[in-house]
Amino acid sequence: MYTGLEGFLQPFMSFSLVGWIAVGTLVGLYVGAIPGLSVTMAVSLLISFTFSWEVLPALAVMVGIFTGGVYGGARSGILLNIPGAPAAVASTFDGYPLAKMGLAGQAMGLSTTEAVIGNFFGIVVLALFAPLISQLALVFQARDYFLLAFMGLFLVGSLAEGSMAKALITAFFGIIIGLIGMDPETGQGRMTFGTLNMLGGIHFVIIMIGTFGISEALLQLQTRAVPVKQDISRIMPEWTAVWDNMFLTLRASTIGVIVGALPGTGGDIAALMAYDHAKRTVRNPYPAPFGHGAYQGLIAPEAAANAAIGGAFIPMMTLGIPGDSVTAVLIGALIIHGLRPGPMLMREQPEFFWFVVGALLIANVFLYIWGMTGIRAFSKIVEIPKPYIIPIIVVLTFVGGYSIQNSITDIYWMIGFGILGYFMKRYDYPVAPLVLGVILTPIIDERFRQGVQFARGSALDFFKGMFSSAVSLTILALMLLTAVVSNPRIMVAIRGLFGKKAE
Amino acid sequence: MKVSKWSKLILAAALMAAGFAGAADYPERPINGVIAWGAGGGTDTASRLMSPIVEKIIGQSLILANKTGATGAIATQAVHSAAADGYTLLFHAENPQLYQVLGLSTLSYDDFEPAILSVQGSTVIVVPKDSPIKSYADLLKEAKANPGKLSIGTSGVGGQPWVTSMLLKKVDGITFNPVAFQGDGPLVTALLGKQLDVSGLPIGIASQYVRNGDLRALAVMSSKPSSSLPDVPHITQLNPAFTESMKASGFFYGVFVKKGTPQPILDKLTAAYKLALNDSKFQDYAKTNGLEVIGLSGKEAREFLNTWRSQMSWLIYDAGAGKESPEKFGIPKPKN
Repeated sequence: MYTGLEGFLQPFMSFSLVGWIAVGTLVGLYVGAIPGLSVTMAVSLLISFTFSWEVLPALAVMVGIFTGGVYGGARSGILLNIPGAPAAVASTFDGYPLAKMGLAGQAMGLSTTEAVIGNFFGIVVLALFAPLISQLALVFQARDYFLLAFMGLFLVGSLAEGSMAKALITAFFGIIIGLIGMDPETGQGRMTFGTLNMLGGIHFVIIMIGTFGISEALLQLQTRAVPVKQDISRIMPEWTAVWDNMFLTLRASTIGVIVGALPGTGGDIAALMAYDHAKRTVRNPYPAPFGHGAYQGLIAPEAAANAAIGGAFIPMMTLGIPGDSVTAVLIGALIIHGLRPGPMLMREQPEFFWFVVGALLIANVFLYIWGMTGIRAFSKIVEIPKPYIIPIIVVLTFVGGYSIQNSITDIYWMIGFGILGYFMKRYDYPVAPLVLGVILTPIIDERFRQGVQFARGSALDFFKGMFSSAVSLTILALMLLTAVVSNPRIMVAIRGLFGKKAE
Repeated sequence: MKVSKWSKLILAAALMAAGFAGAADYPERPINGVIAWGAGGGTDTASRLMSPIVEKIIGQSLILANKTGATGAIATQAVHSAAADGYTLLFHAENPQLYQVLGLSTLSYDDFEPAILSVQGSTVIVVPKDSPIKSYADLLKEAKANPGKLSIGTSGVGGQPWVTSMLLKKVDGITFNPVAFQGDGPLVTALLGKQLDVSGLPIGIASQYVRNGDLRALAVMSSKPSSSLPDVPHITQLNPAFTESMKASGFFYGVFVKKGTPQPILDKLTAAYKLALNDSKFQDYAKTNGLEVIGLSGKEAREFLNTWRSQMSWLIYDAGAGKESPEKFGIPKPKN
């Protein structure tokens, strides 16, 4: 594990490598901030662009883009309520209300700081515990993924503002949309109406951009909201807000690393689960309650989404299996350069692993520099009158949406979901549970059926298996704990049991 | 009336002339390439590796875009909807030869011309490292003693792991408990975690785990040994009854144009891609990823495509996983 440590210093020693990482991080930040332009796409474009390069500079610029891109998504989420990337969905819940309070500068400063801390946490875990965490990925079975995704659905409860029924309705709608397309087991079409385009399903990013982005554009044009004057005299976050919530940051980062390291789940699910965790465990959020502008509601998803980067590299480097969609493309890029990440590379060229760790660390430094220096300029965006800024955003959104699968059909879906999202927002149906349903359904669907197949077709054995496995029991206990902790009445009863007076 | 007839004739002549001129000057503008699988996957990496060399030879740039979904049926349809002028290329794998039987699309490679079939890959049967199954003979014994009990990983109907399990059933009569995964990554994870008893995996993916001792290779599903795994026996060596099934086995990648593309254009593309395959960078890529460079075009390619389709279509149909009978599309049944 600690052979090849000299690779760690390699990116620091070369001026050009540091430069490429810096450029990558800066580009990533802006790519990430534009809805639909994703890190996955940027990295795949880079495969062609860096084709004739040496492998190290190519990797350096990709690591930079990855780091900047995950963070950049929060920018547009905070300022416009339009998440730039799936991992930033959870950052809009409290980030945008903060911007509406005139605290956009503070919110961005806080999100940058938390992103850097979370990212650093992820890198440390990658450097010190990669073999251990990859073992966790190996013992994680179908039923555990099923339970984890099911636990993700708890979030619906956290997202319900007012009416639980409305939140459940949109969540169920999301689940049904998530089922559209090819059956994971038999390959037959589901709810495709016999059309080829629906056989591919509807890409969840398209649904996200439609329900969050296009709907928001329609709504803001209609309400003709007067731009909020932003207080940017202070962009450095209040250190008490960072320090007081350090324990929450660490818990969220842990969620981020583990969820990021599991193949098939990435930063988006990590951030949503961390938000849910924060909402259920933090008693006194400030400066406003959750959903109305709580720093804690921004801290948790930002730390988790960025910690998931280091997490995603763990199975990629140690097992040769991608931890998320970006590392999947990264593996392809390295194969083109004649390297195949995995156990053999770890053994034959261990310095390569340490090079990645070093490059991630440099990217994290630049994340802080670019993140903090850009805030004043970004804050101005919110002050631009809506009739000018909204059409620009919509055009960018269309470009981004089209380029995900190079499909014009996706643009129609985006508009359709935009109109749907507009009406949902007007009639107080929360849109987040819909996106949550779409993201989690494929995991629940695939893993449930896989689990039943492992149990040789017996659903009963599938559920029974949950009580004889340490991993499943741990997740079940966490689910139970979450339910208990977030129920005030039970908590009062518990406090009573221990003889303390309930406050 | 006469004028209009004449004008039609002139127009037709002009169009034909333009067509010939187009073929002679091809390519006059950048060429679009549609990759039917996602970025970072096998089809994607192989396609992107050939492109810079082809661009140099034909003197125009190739604009590659991934268009995923429905195992590439959406990309296949998109290229088929474009003009047959050689300006829209399809970069794809073996999948379209199964669309009809699986009921995914009415298209197949009969609607396209192969500019090149670049590489062919084979599968290897693997078990986790501490498995009591040490050889292919052990696997037969174990599976016969516990029919339908050993868990075998698959990655969708028609995928290589699935095909492997069906071939073993057809020739050696052994049955497994299939567990479906979305893609090879999660399948490998489950194998390394010893959750699965056995699986077929593309050699390029399996070889590093085999060399590292994480997985044990039992047999290469091919009629000849693999240069990536030279110590592993090939299946026809273990059981000659596999000979017929191994005539067109495994998976392959290729570059295709819509049927009706002028022959001179097709020839130009074929020549460029043949040169690209000889490039040392591509050869190295094929070698380290366990792929065999086949470089088939024209009649040879068509023959390969047809043999492959009749093997796999009937295998799928006989296993009860097909939606339509291959007979409906005039796909002949293989001899055995």
